Amino acid sequence: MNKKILAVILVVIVVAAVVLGLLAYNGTFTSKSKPTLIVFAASSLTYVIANMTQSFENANNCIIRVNAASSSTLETQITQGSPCDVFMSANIKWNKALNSSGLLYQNYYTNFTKNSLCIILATGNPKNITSLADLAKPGVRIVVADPSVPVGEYANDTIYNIAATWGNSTSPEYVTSGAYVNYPTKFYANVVSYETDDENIVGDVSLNVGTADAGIVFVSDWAYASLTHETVQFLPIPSSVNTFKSYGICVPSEATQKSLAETFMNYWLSAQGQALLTEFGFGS
Amino acid sequence: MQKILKRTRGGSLSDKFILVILGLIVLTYFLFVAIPIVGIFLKIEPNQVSAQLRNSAVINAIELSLFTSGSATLIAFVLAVPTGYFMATRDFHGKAILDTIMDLPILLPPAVAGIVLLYAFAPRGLLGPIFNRLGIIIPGTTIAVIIAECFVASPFLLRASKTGFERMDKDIINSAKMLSGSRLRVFFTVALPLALNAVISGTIETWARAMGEFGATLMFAGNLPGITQTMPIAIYVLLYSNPLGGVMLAIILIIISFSILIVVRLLEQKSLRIQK
Repeated sequence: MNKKILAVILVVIVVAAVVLGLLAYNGTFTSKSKPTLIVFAASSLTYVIANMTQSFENANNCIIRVNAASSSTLETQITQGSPCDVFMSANIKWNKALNSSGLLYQNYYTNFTKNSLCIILATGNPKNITSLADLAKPGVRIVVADPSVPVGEYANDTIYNIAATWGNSTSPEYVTSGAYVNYPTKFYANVVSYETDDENIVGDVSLNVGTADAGIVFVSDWAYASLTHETVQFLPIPSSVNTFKSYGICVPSEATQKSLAETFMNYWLSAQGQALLTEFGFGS
Repeated sequence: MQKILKRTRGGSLSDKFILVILGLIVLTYFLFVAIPIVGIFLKIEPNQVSAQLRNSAVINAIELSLFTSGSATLIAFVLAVPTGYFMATRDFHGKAILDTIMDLPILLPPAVAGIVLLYAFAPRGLLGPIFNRLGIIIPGTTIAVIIAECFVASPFLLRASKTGFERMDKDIINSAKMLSGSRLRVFFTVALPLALNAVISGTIETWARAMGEFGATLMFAGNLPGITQTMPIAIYVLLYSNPLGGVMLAIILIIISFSILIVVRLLEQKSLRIQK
C-alpha cells in the first residue's frame, strides 16, 4: 500500500516537471511571427556576435539564435543536416570542407577576418613569465588546446615556427642565446592539459586555482578582457612567429532564411562589421 | 564508536580493529564526496545569489533541464519497464545479444552517443529522409535534448526493472494468471507492485543521469540558449564567461537533485519501516 503511494508521488513529481516545462515552453514551441536566424559560430566569436545581435534583430525584425561550439563539432552537425543559416568558423578549412561536400548555398564561402595568438598569464604571474622563452623553462604549467581544434592547431604551428626560426642555427632569425633550441620538446613537456575549446584555456588560467601558469589563446580574448576590464594579463607573440589563420563564413545550402543569412554575412564583410571585429581583437 | 565496539558480542581485538578501519573508510569516502560539494557553496556570496537568479541564461537552463529530464524519464519508463518485464519473463534465442545491445548506451562515451544519434536522426542521417518527408527536423530542438537524455539514461531503468521482475516469485505470477485471465491486469496489479522498489530506484537513477547529460546533448541537439542549453551545458559555458553564474547554476543543480533524492529516500524508508 505504501509502496503504491511512493510510486504515485514519484509519478506526480515527474509529471509536474513535464507540465511546468510545457507551460514555460509555450513560447518556444509556437511558431513566432518573426523569422529565426540560426547561426553556428565558433566559441571565440561569441562575444563579438553578442555585441551586434540586438541591433541586427531590431533592424531586420528577426530573432537570432547562436549555437556556439568548436568549429569541428559545428561542421559535423551541419554535415549531418542540423538546421543552420550561417556558419562562422575559426578556420576556413571547415567551410571549405562543407563546400567540397556540396553543402553550401551557391558554393560560396569566404574569409571574413583573422585571428592570431597571444599568451595569457595566471593572476600575479607567479612564474614570472616575460617572454616565450620562459614558457620552455621546467616547472611552468601551460594549457593549450588540442591540435584538432583551431586554437590548438595554430598554437602548434607557432611553436614549430619558433623552432624553425629562432631555434634554428641556420636561420637568419636564430636567437644566439640558444633559448629556443628544441623549443617544441621543452614547451610540450610543460603542457598540463589539452583543452577542446579556447574558452576553456582562458577559464583554466583565470580560474586561479593554481592549475595553470600560462596558456596560448587568441588575441581576441585579450581584446575582450580589456573591454571588460578584467585584470588578467597577456603577452604578445611577435608576428614573425605568430600564426594568422583565416576565419570563414558561409551559408549552408539548407538554410531556411537564405536572404536574412546573406544580410547577416554581408554585415560581417562590411566596414561596420570589420570595425566591430577589430574592436574585439580580430583581424590584426 | 564505543557503542559499536560494545555491540560486538565477545568480539576479539581483531574484530574491533576491523570495525575501526571500517569506520575510517566510511569517513574518508564521505569526506571525499562531501568536501567538493560543500566547497562550491562557499564560492558565492549570499548577496550575489539573487542577481544570478535573475540571469535569463540561468533561469532558461533550469526550466529546460527540468522539462527535458522529466520527459526523458517518462518516455524511458514507458519504453524500458515493459521491455524489462518481457526480458525477465521470457527466454528466447538471442536474448543475451539483445540484452547486451540494450545496455550499450551506458558504455558509450557521451560524445560518441551524440554522434551516433546525429548519424541516425539528423536530416542527412539514416532516418533523415523519413523525417524530412514528415517535415520534422530534430537536431537543434528541445525534442533532440529529450531524445539524447532518454538514449543515455533509459538503460538504467531497463536494467533495474529487468532485475526487479526477475526476482518476482513466479508462483504468485502463475496463480494470478490463472485467477485472472488478463495479462495486463496481472502486470499492473501483481507484477509491478512486486518489482516496485527496483523500478523506483531505476527511475531515480534514470532521472539523475538525464539531468546530468552533457556530451550527447551538445553534439546532437547543439548549444542553443533557451532551446537546448541544459544546466550542465550552461554551467560549462558560464563557468568561463560568467563564473558566478556557473557556480550559481551548479549549486541549484545540487539543491534540486538533493531535494528530489531525499524526498524519495525518506518515503522509501518510511514505507519499509511500516512494512516491518
